[in-house]
Amino acid sequence: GAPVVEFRGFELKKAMFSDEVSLEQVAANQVPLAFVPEWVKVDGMNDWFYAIDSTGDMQVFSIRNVDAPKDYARLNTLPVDGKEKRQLTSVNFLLGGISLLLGEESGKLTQWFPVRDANNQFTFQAVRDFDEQSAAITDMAVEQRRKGFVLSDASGHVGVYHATAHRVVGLEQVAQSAITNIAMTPRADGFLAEDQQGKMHLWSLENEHPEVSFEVLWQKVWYEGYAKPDYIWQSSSSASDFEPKFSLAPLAFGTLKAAFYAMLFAVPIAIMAAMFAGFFMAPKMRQAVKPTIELLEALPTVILGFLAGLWLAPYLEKHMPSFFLLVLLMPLMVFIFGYLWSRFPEAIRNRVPDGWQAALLIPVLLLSVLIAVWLDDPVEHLLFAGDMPMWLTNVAGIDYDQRNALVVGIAMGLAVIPIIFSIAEDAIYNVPRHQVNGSLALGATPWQTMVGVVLPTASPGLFSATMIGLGRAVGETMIVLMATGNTAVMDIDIFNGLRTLSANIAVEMPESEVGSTHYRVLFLAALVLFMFTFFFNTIAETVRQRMLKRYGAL
Amino acid sequence: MLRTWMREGNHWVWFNAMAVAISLLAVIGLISFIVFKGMGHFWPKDIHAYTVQDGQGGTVQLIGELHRRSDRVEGNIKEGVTHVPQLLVKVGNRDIFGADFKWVDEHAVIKDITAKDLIMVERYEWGNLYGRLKSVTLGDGMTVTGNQAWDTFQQLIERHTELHKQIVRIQKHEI
Repeated sequence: GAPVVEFRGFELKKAMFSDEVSLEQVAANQVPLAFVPEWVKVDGMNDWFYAIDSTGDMQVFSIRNVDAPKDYARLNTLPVDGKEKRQLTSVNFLLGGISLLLGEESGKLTQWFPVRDANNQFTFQAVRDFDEQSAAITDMAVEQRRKGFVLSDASGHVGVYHATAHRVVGLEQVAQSAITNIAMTPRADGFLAEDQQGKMHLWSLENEHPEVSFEVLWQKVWYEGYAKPDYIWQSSSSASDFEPKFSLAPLAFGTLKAAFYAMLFAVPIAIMAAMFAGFFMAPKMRQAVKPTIELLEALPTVILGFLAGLWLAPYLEKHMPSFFLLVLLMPLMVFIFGYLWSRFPEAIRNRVPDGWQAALLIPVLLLSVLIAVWLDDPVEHLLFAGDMPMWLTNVAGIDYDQRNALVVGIAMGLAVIPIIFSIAEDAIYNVPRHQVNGSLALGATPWQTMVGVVLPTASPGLFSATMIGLGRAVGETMIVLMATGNTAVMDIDIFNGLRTLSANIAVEMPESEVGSTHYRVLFLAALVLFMFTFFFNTIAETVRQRMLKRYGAL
Repeated sequence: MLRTWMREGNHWVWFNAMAVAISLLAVIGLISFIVFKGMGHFWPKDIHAYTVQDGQGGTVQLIGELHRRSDRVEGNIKEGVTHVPQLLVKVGNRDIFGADFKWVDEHAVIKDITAKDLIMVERYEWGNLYGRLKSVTLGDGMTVTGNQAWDTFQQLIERHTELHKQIVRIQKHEI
């Protein structure tokens, strides 16, 4: 009659007071099959039952609920592609029992696994294929601890592959006739092949790091259980059938994102402070101000990271509007104060020597901080329904993390400001006095002199300062480790976390197995970080030389 | 007037000054913040005796240090969020209360006094003790109360510290 499959479910019952164990049958269901299968396979989690025949027809049953097995899907895994009909010759599960490896007559191997979509429906997709061997695949053996496998074919060749890395590790002629069976050693350091004439071939295999390839490190990879190919960094877990995900792309992206936000915060403040301190400020005040700002350079960044992660991040989450109010209020109040100061009578203005504007602004800024903090609650109630982070997540659609790029930007910006300030201020201070005097004598105002003469002349120094700051920001470890959420995501959003190469190395190096692939990939991450810095510094130096040539002769 | 002032670029000079002021405030603020928060641990804090309404209409007395204030959030976005101020009181006495800290709604506190007879004793077990000294019982059964109790208590503490040092010396050096 028609082919059927019977599913029987058994429960393992342990006796209460002894060590006796017994099997009790709890379900038995017969379900008709659409064809007579050549292979039947149950996946690693007892969720899926696959019935496959040699023409590539596959029928999948969902057996998660053994009381009611469901005919889930019916598909053909070998679509006719114009050439001769394809035939399946070997079927096996990869480690973990999630991926099915289907070997064909032509020597091609395709990897399939279930993919869940947004409606929780599974489809079975061909994820990648290997077309290295040219004779029918006769048998395959799967590694016990990694996602690798070996294929034997009808011409006596054995190929060693790694599924996730999409890599052919090697292909060798092992026997003179077709190989009928192949088995792999538990440590994946050898395989035993039996050929058609009954001869056994024992080969040793040295395959230490097959999981790494350019595709794995830098391109999107379709991992088991994911809906589509993606850049993922997830190097280890506690399960032995785990698929390590070594994409450096999220980490490199995180490094650049952290550096970008830090620069966004630090460069305007540092360069503008340098412009004032090097040109407009009174010498006596400059002698006090310059060392004070450079004091921040000496602060260990662990402290900054600690404060940012444990004090600033929660504070910002509770009082978000105050930060943005401050950003708006400060320039506004300074502008108003500056204009009013210019209208003050001479008597008051002459009391304060020229170049002490910064000291005058300190009370103004403190006042603006107080106003921002005072307005925080009303603004939050008025505009953001009382809770700005929740409003951002739910209404504006921007996911808010407590430790995000804004916190890192502020903290790392604070760490980088003194470096940029120091070099930029030196550059501006060292613009030859005769050029400045000449410009002033021709009737330019101090600011016009600054923009027209001082800035272009000092531009190599300013650029150099920015680049040194950027180099520092790219390599900063402790601040990003403590102030970000260390989530390896690729979002440019300011309210999302990030994970940088440096923080990743700091976190994972003590935890990785010495000499393993993970360990080596971490060293590779360090090399990538070095290349970043090298790249930025080279560009910086080239641009600086060009600027020097252009403006040095002024 | 404003336009002339702006055309001369004076507002940019003020913005640059603002940048210096921000940097200065950041540096000084950060260092002062660290110093104050850190140094604060070296000074003993005031001990309060709070009389708190419990849910059933009576009152409970909590003796401890005020650790910090915070807000408890009630409600949701639709109906409106209210912040209820709370106090985190370090009540110590882990052998009695089970936990060192207690959250208390600020509006439930009826009375808050700091009196001279409230004491804090550091112990080797069960955390700090917060309370009032009632009496000191000596080894031979004698009980001392009143004004002498405090002096006797201090003498005993001194003797205890001396003995403890001897114990440590024997354990670490002689054995």
